[in-house]
Amino acid sequence: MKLEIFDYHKIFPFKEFGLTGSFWTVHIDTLLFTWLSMAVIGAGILFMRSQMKKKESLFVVAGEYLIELFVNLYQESAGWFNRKACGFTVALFLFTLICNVIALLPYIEEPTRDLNTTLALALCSFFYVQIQGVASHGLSHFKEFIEPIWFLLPLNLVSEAAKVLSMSFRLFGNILAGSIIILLITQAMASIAPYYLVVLLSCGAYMIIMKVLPQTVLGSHVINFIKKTPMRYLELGPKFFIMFVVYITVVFCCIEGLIQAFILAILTITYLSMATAKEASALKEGDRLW
Amino acid sequence: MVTGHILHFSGIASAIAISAFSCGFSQAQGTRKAFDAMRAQIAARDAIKKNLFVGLVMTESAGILAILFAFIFFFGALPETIEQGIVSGMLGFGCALASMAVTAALGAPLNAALEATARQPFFGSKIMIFMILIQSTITIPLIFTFVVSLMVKNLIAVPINGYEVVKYSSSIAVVALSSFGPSIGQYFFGDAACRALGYSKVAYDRLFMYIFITAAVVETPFIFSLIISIAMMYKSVSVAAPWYVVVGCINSTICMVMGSICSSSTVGFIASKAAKSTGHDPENAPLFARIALMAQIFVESAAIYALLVSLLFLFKVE
Repeated sequence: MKLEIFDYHKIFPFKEFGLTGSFWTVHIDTLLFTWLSMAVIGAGILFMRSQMKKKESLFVVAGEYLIELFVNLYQESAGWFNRKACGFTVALFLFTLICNVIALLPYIEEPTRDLNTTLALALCSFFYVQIQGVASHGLSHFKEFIEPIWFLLPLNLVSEAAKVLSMSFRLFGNILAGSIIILLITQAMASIAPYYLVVLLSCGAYMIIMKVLPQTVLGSHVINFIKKTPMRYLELGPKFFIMFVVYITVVFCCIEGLIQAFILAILTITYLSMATAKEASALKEGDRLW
Repeated sequence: MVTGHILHFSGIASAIAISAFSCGFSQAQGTRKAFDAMRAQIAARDAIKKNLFVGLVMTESAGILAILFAFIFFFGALPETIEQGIVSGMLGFGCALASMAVTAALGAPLNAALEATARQPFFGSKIMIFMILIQSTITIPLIFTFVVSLMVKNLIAVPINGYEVVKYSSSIAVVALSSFGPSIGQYFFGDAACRALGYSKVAYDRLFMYIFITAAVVETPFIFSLIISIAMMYKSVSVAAPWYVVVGCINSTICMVMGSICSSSTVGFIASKAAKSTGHDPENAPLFARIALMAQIFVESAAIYALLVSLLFLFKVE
C-alpha cells in the first residue's frame, strides 16, 4: 500500500517553450475540481435568481435567512457594515466551503488539499485587506508597518507574512488530514472510497424502509417475523457500518470543512476591521445599512 | 532473536498495564464522585446512577482498545530480527502512553457531569448527552494512535535496516506523545463544560455547537501530528543514505510534539474559560464563543509553524 499524499497529476502546458519549472506546472486535478466547484456555485446562484423572482418560495425564505445570518455575523465581528466587504467575505466562505465538501461526490478530491489553492485564497484575503486599508486611509495605511518605531519594519513584515502562511497552512493541513483519515478508514472497512454517495444514499433508503415498512400491514408482519428470529442481529452489521462511515464522513468532511471555511472568513473580517478601524467613527450613512 | 521477542512482549505488557492502571484510577475517581453527588442530592440518585454507568462504560472503551491492541500483537507474527523487535516494543509503549493520556482525561467530564447532575436532578439525560459527546471526542487520539501502530506493524513485516528503526519509532512517537495535548485541553474543557450545565440549564443550547467547534480546534494540532507521522512512515530511507537523515526524523518529531502539546492544551484552557463564563452568564454566550475562537485561532498558529518546520525537516534533509 502506498499513500500518495503529495503526488498530484501534473501537466506542462509550456513544454514547447522549454518551461518545465515548478512555476509553469499545472496540477490538473486541482484545476478541474476548482472549476467544478465554481460551476456548482454558479448553478446554485442561477437557481436562486430564478427563485427570487417568485414572491412565495421556500428558497427565498432560506436565502434571506442565510444572508441575514452573514450580515449579522459581519456586523457583530467587525462592528460596522460594508456591503462590498461583506460580499467578499461571503464569497470567500462559500467558495471554500464548496471546495471542502465537494469530495462527497464520487471520484472527486478537495481542491483545498492542494497548497496552491489555499495559498491563493489567503493571498486574495491579504491583498483585499491591504486594498481596503489604502482605500480608507490612503497611503498612511502603510504607516502601521513602522508603527511603534521604524526599525521594527522587518518584524512587522514577517508578522504579515506569517498571517498569510498560517491561514493557508491551517486550511491545507486540516483538509489534507481529513481526506487521509477518510481514506484510511474506508480502506480499513472496505474498498469503497469512490462510492461515498452510494453509501450515503443507501443509508437514507435503509432508514426510510425501516420507518415506512412497519406502517403497512404486510410489512409489519414481515418485520415482526424477522424480529422474533435471530435474523434481527443481521441488521446490526450494516447499521453499525453505515453509522460509522457516515460519522467519519460527516465529522471529517462536512463539519471540518464548514469550520475551516468559517475560520477563514472570520479571520478575514477581523483583519479587515483592524485595517479600516479608524474610519469607523466617520462612516457614511450608507455603510451602516444594506 | 530472543532480544527481539523480549522487547515485543514487554511492549504489549506495558500497553496493557499502564492502560489498566489509568483506566481503573479514572473509574475509581468517578465512582467516588458519584457517592459525593448522591450525598449532596439524594433525589437525583437514579440519574446519577445512570450517568455513572454510562461514563464508566465510555472510560472502559479506552481500556478495551488497549486489550484489542494486545491481542492483535500477541497472536500476530513474532519479530524475526532485533530491529523489528525494537519497533514492535516502541509500538506497544506508544499505545501505552496514548492510552494513559486519554483515559486520565476521560475522568474529568464524568466527575463534572455527576456534580452537575446533583445540582440539576431533572436535567440528567441532557447532561449525559453532553458527557458522551465530550468523551467520544477525547477518545479520537487513542483510535488514531492505534491505527498508526497497525499501519507500522504491517510495514515492518519485511526486514528493515537501522535507519528505518528510527523512522518508524519516530513515526509512532509523534502521535503517541502528541495525544497528550488534546487530552490535557479536553480535560479542562470537559470539566468546565459539564460543570456549566450545573449552573444553568440554558447553557445547554448555547454550548452544544461550541463543543463541536472546540473539539475541531483542539484536535487540529494532533491531526497535524498525524500528517507528519504518516508522511514519515512512507519516507524512503535506504542504507546508503547519509546518517543525518535520521536526525531530520528525530528533529521533526521533537518539533511537532512540542508545538502540538503546548498549543492544544492552551486552546483547551481558553475554551474551558469560555464555557465557565457561559455557565454563569448564558445571555452573552455568542460573545464569549467568538472571543475565545479568535484567541484559539491565534494560539493555534504556533502548531501550524511547527507543522511547517517539521515538513521542512522531513523533506529537505536528505
